[in-house]
Amino acid sequence: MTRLMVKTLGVLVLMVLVITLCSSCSSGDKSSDKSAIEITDQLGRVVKLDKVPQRIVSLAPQNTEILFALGLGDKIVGVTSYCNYPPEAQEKPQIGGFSTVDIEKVVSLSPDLVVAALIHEKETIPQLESHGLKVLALAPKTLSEVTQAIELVGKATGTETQAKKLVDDMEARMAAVASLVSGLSEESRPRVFYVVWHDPLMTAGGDTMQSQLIDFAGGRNIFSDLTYYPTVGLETLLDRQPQVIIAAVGHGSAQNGPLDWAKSEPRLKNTEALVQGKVFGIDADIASRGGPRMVDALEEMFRLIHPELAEKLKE
Amino acid sequence: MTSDYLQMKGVDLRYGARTIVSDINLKIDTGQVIGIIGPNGSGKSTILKALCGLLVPSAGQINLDGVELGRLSREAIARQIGVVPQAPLLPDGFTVLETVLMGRYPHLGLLRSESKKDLDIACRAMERANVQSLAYRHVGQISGGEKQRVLIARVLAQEPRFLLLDEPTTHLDIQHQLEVMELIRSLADSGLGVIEAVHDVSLAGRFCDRLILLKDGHIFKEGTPQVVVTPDNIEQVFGVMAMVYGDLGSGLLVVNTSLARPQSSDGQKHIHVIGGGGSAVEIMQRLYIEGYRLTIGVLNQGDTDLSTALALGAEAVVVLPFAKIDDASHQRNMELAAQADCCLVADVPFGQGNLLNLRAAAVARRLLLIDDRPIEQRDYTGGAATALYSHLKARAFCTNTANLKESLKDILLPQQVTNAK
Amino acid sequence: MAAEVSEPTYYSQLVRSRVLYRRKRLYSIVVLLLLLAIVIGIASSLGTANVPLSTVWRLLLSWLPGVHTDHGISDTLSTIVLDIRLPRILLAGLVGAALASAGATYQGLFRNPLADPYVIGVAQGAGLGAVIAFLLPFSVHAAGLSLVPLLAFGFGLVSAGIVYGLARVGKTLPRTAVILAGVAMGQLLAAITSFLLVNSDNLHGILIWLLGSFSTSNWDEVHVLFPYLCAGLVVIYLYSRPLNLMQLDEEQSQQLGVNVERVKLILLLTATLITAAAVSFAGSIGFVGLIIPHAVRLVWGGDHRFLLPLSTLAGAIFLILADTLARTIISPAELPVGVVTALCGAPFFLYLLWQKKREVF
Repeated sequence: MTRLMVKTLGVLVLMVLVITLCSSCSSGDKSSDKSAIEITDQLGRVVKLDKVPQRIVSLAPQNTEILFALGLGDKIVGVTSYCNYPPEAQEKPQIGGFSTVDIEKVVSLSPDLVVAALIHEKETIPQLESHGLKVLALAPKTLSEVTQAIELVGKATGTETQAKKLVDDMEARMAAVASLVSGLSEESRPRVFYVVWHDPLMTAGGDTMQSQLIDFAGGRNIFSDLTYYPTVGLETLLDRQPQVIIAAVGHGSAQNGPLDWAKSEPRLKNTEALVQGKVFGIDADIASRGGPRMVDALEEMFRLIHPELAEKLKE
Repeated sequence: MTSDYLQMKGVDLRYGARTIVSDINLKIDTGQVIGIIGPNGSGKSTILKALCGLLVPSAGQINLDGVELGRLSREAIARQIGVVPQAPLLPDGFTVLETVLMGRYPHLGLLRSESKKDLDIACRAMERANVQSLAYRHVGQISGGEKQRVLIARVLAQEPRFLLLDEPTTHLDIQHQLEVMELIRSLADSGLGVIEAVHDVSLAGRFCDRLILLKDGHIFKEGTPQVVVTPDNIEQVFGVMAMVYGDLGSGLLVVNTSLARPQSSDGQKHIHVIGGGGSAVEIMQRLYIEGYRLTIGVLNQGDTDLSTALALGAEAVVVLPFAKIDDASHQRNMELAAQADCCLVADVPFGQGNLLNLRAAAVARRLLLIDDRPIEQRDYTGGAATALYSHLKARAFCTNTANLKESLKDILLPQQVTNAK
Repeated sequence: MAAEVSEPTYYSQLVRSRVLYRRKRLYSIVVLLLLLAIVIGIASSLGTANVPLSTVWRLLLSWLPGVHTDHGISDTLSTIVLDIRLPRILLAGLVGAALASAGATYQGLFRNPLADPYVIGVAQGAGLGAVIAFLLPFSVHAAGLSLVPLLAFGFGLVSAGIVYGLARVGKTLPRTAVILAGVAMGQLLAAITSFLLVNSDNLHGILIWLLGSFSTSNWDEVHVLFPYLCAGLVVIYLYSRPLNLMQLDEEQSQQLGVNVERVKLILLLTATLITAAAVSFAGSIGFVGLIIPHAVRLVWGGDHRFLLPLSTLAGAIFLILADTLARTIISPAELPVGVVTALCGAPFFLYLLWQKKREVF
């Protein structure tokens, strides 16, 4: 009697195994039809999705903003601890900081799609992929690449229509600024100094988001000849005669440090910026994140740099 | 002058819970050299450490000129008391001159800098310690013995009134050992009070006015070298058999011979030696090493055998040189011979002066005759000695010096007791 | 020993060499002072802004009372040289002087050639204080100083105090215990700092600060640090002779009259104070405190009466040069000073070692 039972059990187990194997073999074929999505992300990686993602994890604040802007808020299952916009994002489960992603936590959320950034290229992305997760990397370096990023996300998540609407809106606003700025001569483009941090004195180099925004908004970043976020001397700052100073504000902590410094540093008092009273703060988040609010930053910069043209921007 | 001293009264010294020494009383007057001797770990260094104020006594008092040491500042103590430590540890980066000049610090303090006078004092100190030729050498480049002398120079530069030395001759060769000890002696003669821990008991006995012998953290014996350094004391404290020669022109000489033998179950055997003229020197030394209790008689003063006997702490029956053996001495000699477990007659020539000794041998219970040379060759009494000798030979054992040890062992085995005739 | 005849020549030779020894070193101090002045002058004329040498000298000279050579110079140039470069140079000099002196003191106190001003955890404590100041959501100004140097200083002292408390055995302060406690404390503080850094979003800025920077030095900072440093140096110089004696083992120094525990406490306290001050203004700049005293020792010997003032001056000169390099070499951007000190300091020291080792070792 028992021998028979064992035999039957064995056959059943074998059948289950075979079926499972077959199904995983044929799943490839399955995905090749129906809703298969194939995208090349901004790190040059080819990402294949077999269905529209329903569970999405974001590894960067700007990615979170994009996702929410495309109406995907419900599908987001994990964000970083820095994702503070929109406010709903702060209620989502957190998967770590910007560079300290908790791989296990991400995996445990079983996402269909993980939206990563440039810094995740070397380590985080390979690790996630080894767990079988799909990762889409956004790494916009220029303003136009930001809109491209939004479109990529739209394609990956089946929200192309919303993406197109958003991008069109952004491009329209950018065009509005561009048209007001295009006719300006060199001299009427003020020399702008962007303060990232005041001690030591750090600014934004030409390849940064902030610098491109400044240029687009009709100013000239006096340190566009440098890259990334260099330390500069006070002397160099004075030497380049800034006409407008914009300080990053509300950057997590020590909120107003750079702005306070810019306003109170006695050695700046003879600069044109101080004399004309052109020292302003800008929300550090919107100025650094390549997401939908980039245009908000652009318009704000424009208003600060060219107050005389600001009225023409009102719609 | 009555307050010119460094004193310890009833002092106990402890490291944590471990008591190193207890109830120490000592006094160092200026002009005196006191030596502390004792086995390793008996507390010599500890006492010195306390005397310069580096260790606070757990009981008792240490006074300098009547003032308790604990009440004085470091600098004040350093002006009066100088210390030469045991190990010549000196930092490499300074020259000998700079090291010696460090000794001037207690007189200069923080602010004053070295004047010509200080340089003067340092120079003289280096000369006295015989290191002036090394003045510019870096300390790291000189030998251990030279470093020791540099330390002495430094303490001389300190111009203290009391000097504490912890085994100052450890790293020195013989010439320099004597140089240093003589230097210390001369310093004491010129008014310093010196106390030194000395490893070498001979040197201690020779150069110190008084000695303190330590055992297990207590003072075992205290007094002049003659009183303290005896074979008995050395055996009890150090556990070695030693011979102490006190009559050499240069003072004490201690020769360590062997480890102290544990007592045999039936007590220490007493051997009485009949000798004279140097015939018993080797015999006595060898028997002493074996652990026997020795007595000898009758000897003339000045006899070589007598020096050895004294050195071994053996009782000797002595008469004046060239004098005849008087009755009392002869009586004593016979007593000892009879008492002894064995009486031994050395290979000694007999004349009218010491013939009585041979007669004394007759009363011995056991008799051992050493005859490296036959009695005929040693008879200066015209035959009387030979006759007596042959008489004794009948009931005695004969052997030569070479087989002494074995023969003695055989004789002393319990069964063999012969009757005296 | 027939000393009578040879004594006059031998003795006078000794005296002469002593006098020469002292004179040589006093001259060295004067030379270094001059060198310092020259270096300050040169550094004032270098920078991203192109200020002609003559303008620089005219501006510097106008400082002397009664000298008015600064007419016709624009306000910007004047600000650049006198309000930006000069205080920066002087602050770098003061910090270098402080670190080198503290380093020499610690090396002497601990009789350990690897001791530097950071061995008892002061720099790590100050770093933690600075990071906390950066992360606080408010900023405070007092006496021209922001929260950063104040908190850095406070934390630096507190951590040194904890180390002292940990290492104390009854009334004594064993050297090894202090080093062990200091290293442990330093590691702990560094770990806490790293933790805070990783979880902050201004990682970059704080890291650069920790590596050391003079980019926003101002006159207020100089005015605070200068008298402070002078007071500390006076105390340290006062104890140079006991420090010499403390190169002997503790027993010997005590036997020679040095109150070892008191000297340790005073010197430790003073050196820690000036280190904390230096770090709280400039971040933890490495190498200066460790290498400068060694370099000075190799050239002029280990007598602390000269080692200390010479280290002070050499440290000042070195850090001014390093900072000048830091702000000109990748102009218009700047390198953190700590990177320059490490890159320049190591080979220089190796060279000195190679030259002198046969002589001294």
